[in-house]
Amino acid sequence: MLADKDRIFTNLYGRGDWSLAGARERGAWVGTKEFIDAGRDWITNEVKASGLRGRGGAGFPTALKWTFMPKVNDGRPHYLLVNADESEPGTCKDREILRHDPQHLIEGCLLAARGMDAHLAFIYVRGEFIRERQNLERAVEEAYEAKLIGKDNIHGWDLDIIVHHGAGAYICGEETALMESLEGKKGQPRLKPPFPAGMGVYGNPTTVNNVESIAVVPEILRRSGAWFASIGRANNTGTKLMCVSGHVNTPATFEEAMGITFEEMIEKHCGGIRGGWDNLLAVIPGGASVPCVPGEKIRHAVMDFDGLKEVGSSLGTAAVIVMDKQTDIIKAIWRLSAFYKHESLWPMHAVS
Amino acid sequence: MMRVMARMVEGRAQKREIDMLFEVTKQIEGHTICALGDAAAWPIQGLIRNFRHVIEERIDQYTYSSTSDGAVPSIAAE
Repeated sequence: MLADKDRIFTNLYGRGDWSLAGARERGAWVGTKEFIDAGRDWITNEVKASGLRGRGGAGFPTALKWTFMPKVNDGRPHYLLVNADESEPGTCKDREILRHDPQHLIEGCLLAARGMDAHLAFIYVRGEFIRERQNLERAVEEAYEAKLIGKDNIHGWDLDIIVHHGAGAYICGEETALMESLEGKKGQPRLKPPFPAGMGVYGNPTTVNNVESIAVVPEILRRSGAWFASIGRANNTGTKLMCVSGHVNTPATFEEAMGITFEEMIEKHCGGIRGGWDNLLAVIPGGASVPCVPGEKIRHAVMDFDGLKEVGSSLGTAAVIVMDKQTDIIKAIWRLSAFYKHESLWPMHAVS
Repeated sequence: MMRVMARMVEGRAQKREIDMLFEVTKQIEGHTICALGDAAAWPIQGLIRNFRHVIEERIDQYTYSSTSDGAVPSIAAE
């Protein structure tokens, strides 16, 4: 169970002030210059020590991804691309960061950009997120005004941030389709290889990271990678934003330590299953695209990447969809199929 | 896939089609350009793996409620 002092997103519910002044009161932008001065390798090593795995669904180690970027600059600029195209059904974690804690993300961008020698960061915001984008743009402006980012800023590492607004296609959450869409083309995936770290946006080395992966970086550096690694189990470290929806008494988004059991999580944050634990039919534990798990198997399962693999599913984005015995499970899955048919591209219509 | 699923919601399907559908999802998984092909296939795999008996019951119920001339009264009315 996560102690209050270990929380990273202290304004998750928007009860505090989300502006720069409010974020600074909560500890954002403290010591950032020291981290920048410590250099690229130090940042990457500290994130590596924390064991942070990508929060976008696949769970790929973030530091490892950064090290794929070319070590020696060959004249092409490096880009950081933040994936805020959160369209996975059931997921509502990134929007809370964009709305209520945007400075975490901006500070994370600066540090991550130092970790991969980038001077330009794009944030691709989902088309449906209007208010979130307004908050984020305001936060970026504030950071520019305070000289925290931009040319000749107080940290000594130039970084420009461009907030790009998508048009609301599910497929653009995939990293290569995201880059196509950012370049102004149709959002269709590219063939890999070449991988984004070699040829990304406009043919330049690019790293694509989820909002949450980037937003936790400043706190990891401030409190050390060892602190982050001490939460959760080996290989599944740290804290995670989880969003529970469906047939629980109080659906919620909250920050919790990885490795909590499903039962404890539901009882602590969601007021239990509607109609009691005997009424639980199935759970989709990681956003609509992962296989569902029957109720009796999930109850004692551990909520992290490896724990859910053991029960034949995956953590994905940790968007838990709970279904009780009133649910027509076949119809529920059919509805997901209909969603994927709607969002699929013409090359895939044959399979849908 | 969605069309077969739509029939299974009613139970208007053959039991061998369950295996067929599973086979199709296996062919999609890992063979598409981007990762979202897997995303479309996994929910159905999870359903078949864990709730096969529910689908079979639904098919049985549908077959049971059909009359000799093939007409099927609404399942919901029963």
